[in-house]
Amino acid sequence: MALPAGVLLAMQAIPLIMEVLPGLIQDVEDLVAAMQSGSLSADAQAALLEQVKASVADKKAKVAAYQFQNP
Amino acid sequence: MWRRRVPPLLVLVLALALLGATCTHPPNAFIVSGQTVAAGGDVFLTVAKAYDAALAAHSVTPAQYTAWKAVGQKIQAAYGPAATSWEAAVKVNDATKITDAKAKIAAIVAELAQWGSVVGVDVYTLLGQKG
Repeated sequence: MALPAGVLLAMQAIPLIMEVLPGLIQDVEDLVAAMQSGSLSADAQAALLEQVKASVADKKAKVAAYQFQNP
Repeated sequence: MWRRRVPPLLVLVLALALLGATCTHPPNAFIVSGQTVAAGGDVFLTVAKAYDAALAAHSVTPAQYTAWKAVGQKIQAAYGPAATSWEAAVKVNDATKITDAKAKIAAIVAELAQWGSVVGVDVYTLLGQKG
């Protein structure tokens, strides 16, 4: 029995989502763990901000570089 | 590996809720809003790649892809200035200036949510937010 088109599309999207999410999740997990432990010092905040700045710059470059298809 | 941890989306939901409720000092505000800006870029790339895959698999028609492309190019053009707004706020160390970047990213994500649903990408689930 053929799967509905929506299910097939969702299945195609899963690997893409899994490709993108881990880095973001890891960043947030690190931040939450640091806050929960009370160990987020000023230096740690500054380091984390630098990490986020790099992440934003990376995403900005990747979005700008993305090439659409020509169907 | 992240797969062995608590479900990722649950972590993201809790993290954003916790941080949004507790972070009012500029460094944390920059960190949290920066994560949001970066996530917006991830969402764009995820939706764009999903459309590429759908086009290759003939799950969307060329006409559907062309319609997405027209909107996607506008979103692509809008993302850079949004990220730059955030970077400018950080540079002058003024957390009040991140509002502009957050508004731009919110608009981008809302647009992507509509287009992502066509190719099976639930943007709000992706971000751990409620639509």
